[in-house]
Amino acid sequence: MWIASTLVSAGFLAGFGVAGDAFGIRLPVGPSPLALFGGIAAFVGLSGVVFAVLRYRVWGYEVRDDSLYLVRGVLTRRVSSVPFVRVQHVDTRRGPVERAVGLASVVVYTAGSRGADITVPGLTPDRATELRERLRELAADSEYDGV
Amino acid sequence: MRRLHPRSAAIDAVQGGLQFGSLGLFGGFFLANQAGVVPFSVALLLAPLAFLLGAGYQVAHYYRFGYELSDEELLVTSGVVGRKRREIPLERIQNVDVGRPAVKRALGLAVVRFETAGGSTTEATLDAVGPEEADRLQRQVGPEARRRREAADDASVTPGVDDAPADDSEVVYEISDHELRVLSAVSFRPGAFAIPFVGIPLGGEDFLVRALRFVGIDLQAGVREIASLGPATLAFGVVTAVAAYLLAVWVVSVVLTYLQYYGFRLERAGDELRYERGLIGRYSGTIPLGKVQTVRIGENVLMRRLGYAALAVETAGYAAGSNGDGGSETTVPLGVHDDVLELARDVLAASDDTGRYEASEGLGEPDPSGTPADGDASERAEGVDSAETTDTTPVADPDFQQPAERAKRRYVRRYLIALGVVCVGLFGTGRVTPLPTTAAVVPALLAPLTPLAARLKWRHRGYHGTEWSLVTREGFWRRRTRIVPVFRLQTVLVSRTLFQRRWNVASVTADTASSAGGGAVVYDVDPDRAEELRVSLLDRLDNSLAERRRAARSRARARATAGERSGAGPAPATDEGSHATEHTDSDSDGHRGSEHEEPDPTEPDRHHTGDDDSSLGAADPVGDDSAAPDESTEFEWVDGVDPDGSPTNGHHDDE
Repeated sequence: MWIASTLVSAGFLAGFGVAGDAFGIRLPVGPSPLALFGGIAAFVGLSGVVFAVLRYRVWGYEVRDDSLYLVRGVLTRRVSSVPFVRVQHVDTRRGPVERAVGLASVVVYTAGSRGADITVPGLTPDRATELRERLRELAADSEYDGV
Repeated sequence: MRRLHPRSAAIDAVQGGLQFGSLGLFGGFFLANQAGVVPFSVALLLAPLAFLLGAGYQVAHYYRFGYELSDEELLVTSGVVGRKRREIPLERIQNVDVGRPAVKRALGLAVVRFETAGGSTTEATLDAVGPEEADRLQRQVGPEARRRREAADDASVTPGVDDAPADDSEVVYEISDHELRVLSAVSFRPGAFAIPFVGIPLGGEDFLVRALRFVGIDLQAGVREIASLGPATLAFGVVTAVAAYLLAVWVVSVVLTYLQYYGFRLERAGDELRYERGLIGRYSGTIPLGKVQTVRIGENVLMRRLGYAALAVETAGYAAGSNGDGGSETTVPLGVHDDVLELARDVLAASDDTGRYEASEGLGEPDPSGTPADGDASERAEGVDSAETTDTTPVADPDFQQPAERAKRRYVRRYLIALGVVCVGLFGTGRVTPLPTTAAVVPALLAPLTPLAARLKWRHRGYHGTEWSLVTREGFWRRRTRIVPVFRLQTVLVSRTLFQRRWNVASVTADTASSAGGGAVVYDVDPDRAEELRVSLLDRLDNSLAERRRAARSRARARATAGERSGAGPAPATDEGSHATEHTDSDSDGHRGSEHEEPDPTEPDRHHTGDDDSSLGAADPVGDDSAAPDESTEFEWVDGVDPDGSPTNGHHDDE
């Protein structure tokens, strides 16, 4: 019934881990005892890494034949389905950090009121472009204006 | 291009002038006195100069502001420095609101607001025009434009209404004096809680101090002495203060509600609802039924007890909180419960142009939600948990599925934790302030009530899915029942917080494009069931969309064949005057792909691959029952066999 290919995002860990570490290292600046701040930094950095790993593990998306299916969230596990009919437009985005590590995200917009835009992070640029094109085509195919 | 009402320019000019003027005045004083940069005489000149500047800007704004309403779009140009030109296709306009606040009303002016689904603010505001002009705009944008489009389409959707004259409207609901009084008495406005505080600086303080002294507390005596007072006096003082405060809130709330909903009436004109309300400022607005996203029924405890309910219709138009007067999407502020449900059903039925809604007797279900209103009261009186009330729940409420049983325990836990936090907090403050530490015991006394509270919360949460819609319900104090037509779904989200995972429950959010208050949430159901719900919602969305598409196409074809037969233009001569424009409309409509139709050549393919139910897909070409404009046959293809399949196929080949 669903002929969709299953794609799981890759390389997300790297980007997020680096970001987490960078955040951790910035903390020690201060007049207080270095050990304390170092401890906090280590904790933040470590938990950041752990969090990133978990997040990477949880994150998954799948292009099904009538909707985009996503699983994400470490603390709050969220499973969303975005019917292609409801996709308003699709972006690919590459922030400075993402560019540095050679990644890209795809942002899917719907007209909904909460969580109206859904980001699929950590894709290689080629794959992001491919996904965007694919979503665009699927959305165009299932065109129906509901608003 | 039309201009706004000249009187509005005058008001704006005075307003702008005063704003700038006062700014200039203070600025001047500051420069002269504080900074000493300029002599006093120069500073004095600043104020009138600024006044002229402000007024001038507003006048310029007035001359730069123009609008034009054509058959297809609303054109608004504005801007003094940067010029802006905005074209809004009429079919994209969700609501048209006319507001006449007190001052403007006195001057015979009205503010017209056009809402669309895009963006977070009102799309176009005409501030202000004359009342007749406001009326004209409202009517032309709403029913008339739609009628023209529909006439161009086909009359099969609402056959009777199309032939009706423009101002034919039936009053669906009108608030009675009694209802208005009840409404005022039972509705609590969150905003009112702040208002007594506004009174304090305006002499209310003195009153407060005196009132407290009356009960034996002298504020001026200082905190220590208050602490030294007997606990009885203190408790009495606190209770009186709280009671007085609540009374003040209530009075304010009553007055505001009374003013807001005075003379409320709701009319249905063709395919849109129109409301009017207000005692001092008069407000009115239109809600096209085809744009309804969600219908919400709200009842607070008192309303339920008295058997009343309120109805709100959500569209994608209103930017959340942009309307200062609040709740303007409210359709019926208060009505007898059953009447409200009836109206809700009508609205939903009318909002769906496939007529599918009536076919699946969908909303017979919220009806039972009315019965527990009485059951509730008695149960509450009865007392706490008791197994038999739990057993009667499904009986009283056969169609609503409650959250999982264990969710109840979860709520108990949650309330206990909250109480614990308050306890600790009070204890902490008791250590550093003269507040007796024994106060920390007070919340602990509430602990035995938590099972009751949890039970109530649990009882009032629930959902019910029909083929056509998803109904969710939540809240004990203010119970909200949302009815989401499946074809309005945007996304479906299943979420499980850390705690929800511990209890092995999940919440399902059905998101719509409605801008008021987010989607409908099904709380704390079993994860398996949540997943099931998600899948089935998506399936139903698919089916209903396919159905709507078919209905739209069949309508388009019916129109095409009608056009063929009559030779030129659409047959139904509803409006003699606009006949010529109708014709052009029907042409452009096809290309533009309006709200109701999307003749996409690629669609049939998608159907066959997308529909899991092959009979649905196979029935597709048969679905264009152009030969039979009768509405009832429109959903017979669900069975996969259309009785008059071959003649319709013939028509299909014609094209």
